[in-house]
Amino acid sequence: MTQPVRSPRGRIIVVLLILTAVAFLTLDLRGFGPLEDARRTALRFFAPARSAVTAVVSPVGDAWQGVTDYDDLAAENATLRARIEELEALEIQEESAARSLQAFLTDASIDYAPDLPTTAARVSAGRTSNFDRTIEIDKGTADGVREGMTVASGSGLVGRIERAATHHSIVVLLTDPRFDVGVRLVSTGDLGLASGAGVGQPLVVEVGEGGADALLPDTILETSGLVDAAYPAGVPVARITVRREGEPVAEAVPLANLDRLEFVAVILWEADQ
Amino acid sequence: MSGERSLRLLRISALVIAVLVFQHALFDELRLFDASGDLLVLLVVAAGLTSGPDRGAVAGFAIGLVADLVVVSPFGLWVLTYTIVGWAVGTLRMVAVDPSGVHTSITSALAGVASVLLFVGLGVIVGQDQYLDRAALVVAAVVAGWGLILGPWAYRLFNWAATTGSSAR
Repeated sequence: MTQPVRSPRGRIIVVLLILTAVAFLTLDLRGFGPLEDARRTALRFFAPARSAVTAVVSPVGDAWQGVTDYDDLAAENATLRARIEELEALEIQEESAARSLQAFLTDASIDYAPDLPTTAARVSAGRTSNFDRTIEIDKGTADGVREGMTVASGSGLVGRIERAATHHSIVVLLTDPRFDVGVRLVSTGDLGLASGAGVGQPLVVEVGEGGADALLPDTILETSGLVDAAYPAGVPVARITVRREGEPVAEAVPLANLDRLEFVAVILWEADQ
Repeated sequence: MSGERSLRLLRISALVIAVLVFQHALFDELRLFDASGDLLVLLVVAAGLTSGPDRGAVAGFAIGLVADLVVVSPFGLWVLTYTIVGWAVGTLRMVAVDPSGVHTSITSALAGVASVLLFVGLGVIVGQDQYLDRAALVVAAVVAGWGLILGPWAYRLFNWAATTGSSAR
């Protein structure tokens, strides 16, 4: 093995590289379009290659998860069994609650649109780095998907489209710390803001001082859909688990199971609609 | 020998792309404590060890550029991180590190930790406070663990791509 040598111009090159990287950062943070275009183009070519390799190597990943998540799966099974029993007992009460909810929505004249156009998508890949809370789906601009659109599952809000290429898109999950969504407490109609706090962390829900008393455990949150809201109204978001003492702030768990998503729906609704 | 040089460049490029696809197709799913290893930083380390600080920085820049194309963090953050890591590892190589198995493992692990901390630190400087989280320490530990195991393999692979055909000179 030979010792590497330094060229006389080496230091200048290193400084130039660092300055270029800083320039990239500055341009991107200022919303320089061509960089995002380059990322869209990369997604267009990279996603099919990754999907093809994933199809081949996914048994390895599944086996790994089976080994490393065994305790979690056992605990989840026990929780689900308990939940089924609970739900059976609450079935009648839920019918009543659903009627109450519908009545509440009608009475409050909320712009609730149950028949928003959607397109179903398969989750083609998980997150793309240790620092991104994202998934990749197999629908893109060719299917009417646009950046900023809402992504949901049968259980509730999943996230929003961050980057859309022709046939693939990247979705930022609602647990991402950059994710904020305006919410309404279904039980009282109080408005608040739910924010992501990272994987494994509950959402943080903040309401005005007047709504603090409504932050009760098991209260369901849905998107508020106010004027200029980024998300359509009435999409279930999370369930409050605990209120923080002395603050109009609560913690909530997303209704959608973000760890085991296979299919999602993209709501073909844009914020300016 | 520009033909030979082009061939080496082609091999290194193919290696980086293959590792990137492998990272996102499989390695991101092999999570421990909700964190996965970073194969790309191992290539950056290998480049620094093989070629010294200047080319280590160039390789780090190029690998960071590829990495930044497929993530949602601000464009340039991985470029900057990997450029500095490539330069630092190359500098260590000049003054201290002999790229034997153990040294390569330890260097890869330390560089893995450094890359995570650098990424978080630079992220905070540019306003990405969300990266400053206790989970980053777990990520650093997991990245270091994988570096310890896979570092020597990454070095051999990169060394093969970067030097095959040049030994006759």
